[in-house]
Amino acid sequence: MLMRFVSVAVALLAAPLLPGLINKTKSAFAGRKGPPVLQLYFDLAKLLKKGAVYSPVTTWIFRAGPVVSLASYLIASLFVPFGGDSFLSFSGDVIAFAYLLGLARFFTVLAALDTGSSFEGMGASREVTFSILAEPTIFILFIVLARISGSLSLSHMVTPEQVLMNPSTVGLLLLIVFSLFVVCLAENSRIPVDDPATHLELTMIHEVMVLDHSGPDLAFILYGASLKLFLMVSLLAHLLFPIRAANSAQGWLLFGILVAIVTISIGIVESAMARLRMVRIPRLLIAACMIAIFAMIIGLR
Amino acid sequence: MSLFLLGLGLIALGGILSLIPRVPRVLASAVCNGLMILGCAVGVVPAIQVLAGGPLPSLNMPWSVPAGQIELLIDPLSALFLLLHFIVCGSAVMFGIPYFSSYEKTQSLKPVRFFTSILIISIALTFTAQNTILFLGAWELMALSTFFLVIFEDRQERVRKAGFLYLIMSHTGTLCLFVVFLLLGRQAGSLGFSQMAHNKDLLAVGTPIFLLALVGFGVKAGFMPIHFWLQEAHPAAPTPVSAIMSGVVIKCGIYGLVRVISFFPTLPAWWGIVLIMIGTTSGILGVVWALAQHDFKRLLAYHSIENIGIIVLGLGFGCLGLSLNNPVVAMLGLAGGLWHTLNHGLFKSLLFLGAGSIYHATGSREIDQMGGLWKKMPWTGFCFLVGSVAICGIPPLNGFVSEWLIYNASFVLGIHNSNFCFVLGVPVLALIGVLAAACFTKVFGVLFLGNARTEAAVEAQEGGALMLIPMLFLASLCFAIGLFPGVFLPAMSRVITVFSSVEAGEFHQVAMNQAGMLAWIGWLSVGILAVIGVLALVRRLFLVGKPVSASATWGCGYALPSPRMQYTASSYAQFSTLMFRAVLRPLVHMKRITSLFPAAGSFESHSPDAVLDRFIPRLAAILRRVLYRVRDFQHGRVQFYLAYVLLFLILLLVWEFHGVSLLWKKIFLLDAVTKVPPP
Repeated sequence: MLMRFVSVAVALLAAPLLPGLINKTKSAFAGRKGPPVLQLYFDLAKLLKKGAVYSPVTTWIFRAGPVVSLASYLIASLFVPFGGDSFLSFSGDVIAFAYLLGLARFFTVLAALDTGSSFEGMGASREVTFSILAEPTIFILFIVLARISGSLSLSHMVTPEQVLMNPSTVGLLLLIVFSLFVVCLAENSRIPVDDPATHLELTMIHEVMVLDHSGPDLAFILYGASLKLFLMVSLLAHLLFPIRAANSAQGWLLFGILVAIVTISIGIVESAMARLRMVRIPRLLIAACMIAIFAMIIGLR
Repeated sequence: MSLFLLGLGLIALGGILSLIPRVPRVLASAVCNGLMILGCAVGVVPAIQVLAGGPLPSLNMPWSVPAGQIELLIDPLSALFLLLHFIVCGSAVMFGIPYFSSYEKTQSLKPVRFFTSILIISIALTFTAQNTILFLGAWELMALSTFFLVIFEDRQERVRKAGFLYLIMSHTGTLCLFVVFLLLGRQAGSLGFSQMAHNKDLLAVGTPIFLLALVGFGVKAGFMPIHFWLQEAHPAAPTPVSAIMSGVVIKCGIYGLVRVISFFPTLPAWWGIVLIMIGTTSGILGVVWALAQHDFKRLLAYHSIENIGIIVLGLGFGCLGLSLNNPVVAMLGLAGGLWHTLNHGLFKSLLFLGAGSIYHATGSREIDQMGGLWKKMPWTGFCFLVGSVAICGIPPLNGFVSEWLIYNASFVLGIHNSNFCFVLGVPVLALIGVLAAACFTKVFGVLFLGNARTEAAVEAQEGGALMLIPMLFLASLCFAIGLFPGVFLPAMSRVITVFSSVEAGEFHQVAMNQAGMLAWIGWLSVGILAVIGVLALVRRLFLVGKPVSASATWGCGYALPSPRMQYTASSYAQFSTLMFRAVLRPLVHMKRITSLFPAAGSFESHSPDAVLDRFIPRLAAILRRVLYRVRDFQHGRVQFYLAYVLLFLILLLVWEFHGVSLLWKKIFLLDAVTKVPPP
C-alpha cells in the first residue's frame, strides 16, 4: 500500500517534467538551447503566488472549472499504473477513468463559455467536436485491450502479459499504440492538432478556452494539463513494454525510461510536423479511429 | 394495497373537485393540487415497501366487463415504475401551480387539473394492472388524457397539429397492442398476466408478439423510426405536462415491452440483437438531432429518444445475457436498462422543469435568445447543471451509475464472445455520451453563462419557491443515487426476478458481486466531491491576501464587444453538426453580405426531422401517385360498377370452390391418366 502511495505521489510530482522535456526536444531540433526542463515548476510557483483577475461576466462556474478538472485528473491518476500496480483498481475502473476525463472536459468547456467571449466559445466548440471522434476511439481501444487481457481494470489492461504468450498479437498491440498515440496528441492539444506554444491564433483549441484564467486558477489548469499528458503517456509507456512489475526499483526505472521515450517522440513529432489545418484534424482522428476498428476486428478473431 | 388505493383516491378527489364551478381561484388551486401531491406522496409508500423487499400487495375483484377482472398487483417491476411515476408527477404538479397561474386570466385551468389527475391514475393502473382488458383500458385512458393535456394551448395551430399527430401515433400503437395481447391471451388460455408468465406455450407465437410489441410499445417509448410524434408533442405541451410525458409516459412503453418480454421462459437470442440495434439507432440519431436543435424543449425531446436508446441497449444486453445463459451480463444489462429508466425519468423531468422555469421567466424557448441567466436564476441554474451533468452520464451523478452497468454488460459480453454486434455497445455508448456532453455544454453554456442576449433574458427572475422545491427535490435524488448506488442495487435485483427466465438464486449471487463493484462507484463519487472540496479550499487559501480584481473579458483587442457577438447555440454546434450533415441535412437560409455597402445580412438554419418532415411527405406523395391510378376505376358508370360486382363474385366463387386448381388441371390435362407403356 505504501509503495503504491509513493508511486502515485512521485507521478504527481513528476508530471510537470513532461512539457519541459518536450520543449527541450523541440529546442534541440531547432538548434536552440530552450527553456530549462523545470520551467513549468517555476511557472506554477510564480502563478500560485499571484492574485487573480476575473471578468464581471463570469460566475462561479468559471472559478469551478479549473478546480473540477484538476480534481478529475487527480482521481483518474489513482487508476493508472506508474511502473507497478495502480493505487486503486476494480473491474470497470476503465470506464470511470474515461468519464473522469469527460467530467474535466465538461467543466473546462463551461468555464470557457462563461466568459461570454466568442473567441473562447470557438475553442470550446472545437474541443467538443474533436472529443466526439477521440472518445469512441479510446473506448474501442479499451475493448480490444479488455479482450487481450481478459480484464476490465485499467492497470491490467495496459499490461497485457498474454501478448508474450502469443506473439501474433504484437502487431495488434502496435496498432493500438499508434492509435492511442494520435488520440494522446489530440487530447493533450499537441501538434499536429493544436499548438500549445501560441495563444492568439484563430486555430487554437485548448489554449483559447483557458485564456481568461489567471493566478492560481491558471496554475491549476497548467498542472492539470501536464498531469493529463502524464496519464496518457503512462498508458502508452506500459503498452510499449507490457510486463507487469511489482512496485520495485527496476520496474520504476524501466517505466521512467519508457515515459521519457514516449515524451521525446511527442517532441520529435512536434518538431517534424506542422500543425494541420482545422478541417484536416477530423480526418486524422478518423484515421486513428479506423486503425482502432481494424485492431478490434483483428482482436475479435 | 390500501395505501395505494388511498393515494389514487386522493388524486381522483383532487381531479373531481376541480370541476366544481365558482370556487375562488386560490382555493381551487390549493385544494386540487394539494390533494394530488398528497396522493402521490401516499402512493409512493407501497412502491418503496415492495422495492425494499416487503410483501407484494394485490387486489382481486370481479368486473362486469367480459373477460375483464380488476386484478392489481404491485410486483417489484411495477413498484420501480410506480416510484418514478409518483415522484415525477408529484413534482410536476407542484411545479404546475405557479406555472399555470400565468394562464389563469385567459384560460380555464379546470381541464388541466382534471386530466392531470386522470393521467396520474391511469398510468398508475397501467403499471399495476394484471389483466389485459384493464391494462388496455388504462393504456387508452392514459393516451387520451395526455392528448387533452398536450392541446392545452389549442388556439395555436401548431399545438393542435402536434396533439393530433400524437393521438394518431398513439392509436396506431394501441392497434398493435390489441393483437399482441390477443395472441398472448389465446396462447395462454387466459387474459390474466399471471397465467401468461412462465408459460412455455407462448414461444410458439413469440416472433409476432415480439415484433408487434416492439412497434406498439415502441411508438409510445419513441424508438427511432417511429419516434416522430415526440419532438412535436413535447414542445407543444405545457412544461409540467412535458415533464410527465418525458419522465413517465414514454416509460410506459418501456414498461410494457419489459412486461411482455418477462412472460417468456426462454428468449431467442435475436431478440437481444434487435433490441441492441434499435438502441444504437435511437441513441445516436436522437442525440445527433438534439445537437442541431435550438428550441430547448424540442432539444430535450430528442434527448428523450437518445436515452430511450440507452435503456433499450441495456435491455438488449440483458436479454442477450438471458438467452446466452450468462447471468452476469443479464444482470448488468437488465439492471442497467431499468435503472436508467428511473434515472432518466428523474433528470429529464428535472431538466424539463428547469426549461419550464426559464420559459416562465422569459416567454421564449429559443436557446439563442438567452444568456447570463445564472446571475438572475441561480437556483434554477444549479438544478439545470445537475440535470445536465447527470444526463451526460458523468460521475458523480446518477446517470453514470446506470451507464456504467450497461458499459460493463457490453464489455463482459465482448470479452467472452467474438461477435461484432456484442462489442459494438461500448463505442456506441461512448459516442452517445460525448455527443450528449457536447449538447448539454451548449445548452447550459448558452442559456446560463455569458451575457444576456435579449431584454427578456436581462429581466428574468426565479419563479418562486413552488417552482424551486420540486427541482431541488429531483436534483437531490440525482445526487443520492449517484453517491449511494449500492443502496439501490438490492431493489434492482428484486426487479429483475420478475423475468420468467431468471433463476433467482443464481442472480442473487451475481447481484452480491455487483454490489461490491457499485460500492466502488459510490466511493468514487464521494471521492470526486471531496477532492473538489479540498482543491476549492486550497485555491481559496492561495488567494487569501492577494489582489483579486475585476476586468472585462479579453475581446481580442476589439473595443466595443456586444452580447450578440457571443457564440450562440447554433455556432457552437456548427462544427460538430458539420460531421453529421449527411444524415442531418440542415436547411440554411442565408442573406450573404456582398457589396461594399451591404444591406442587412441574415443567417438561419434548422434541421427538420428525418422521418416526419422528409420521409413521410415523400411516402405520402408516392401513395397519392399510386392511388391516382386507382381512381380510373371510379368513373361513375353504373353498368361498369355492376360488372365489377360480377367479376368479384366470380372470383369469390372460383376461390371458394378451389376453382383455380380445377381450371388449371382442366387446361393442362393434369388429371388425365397417361398410358403407362408396357414393360
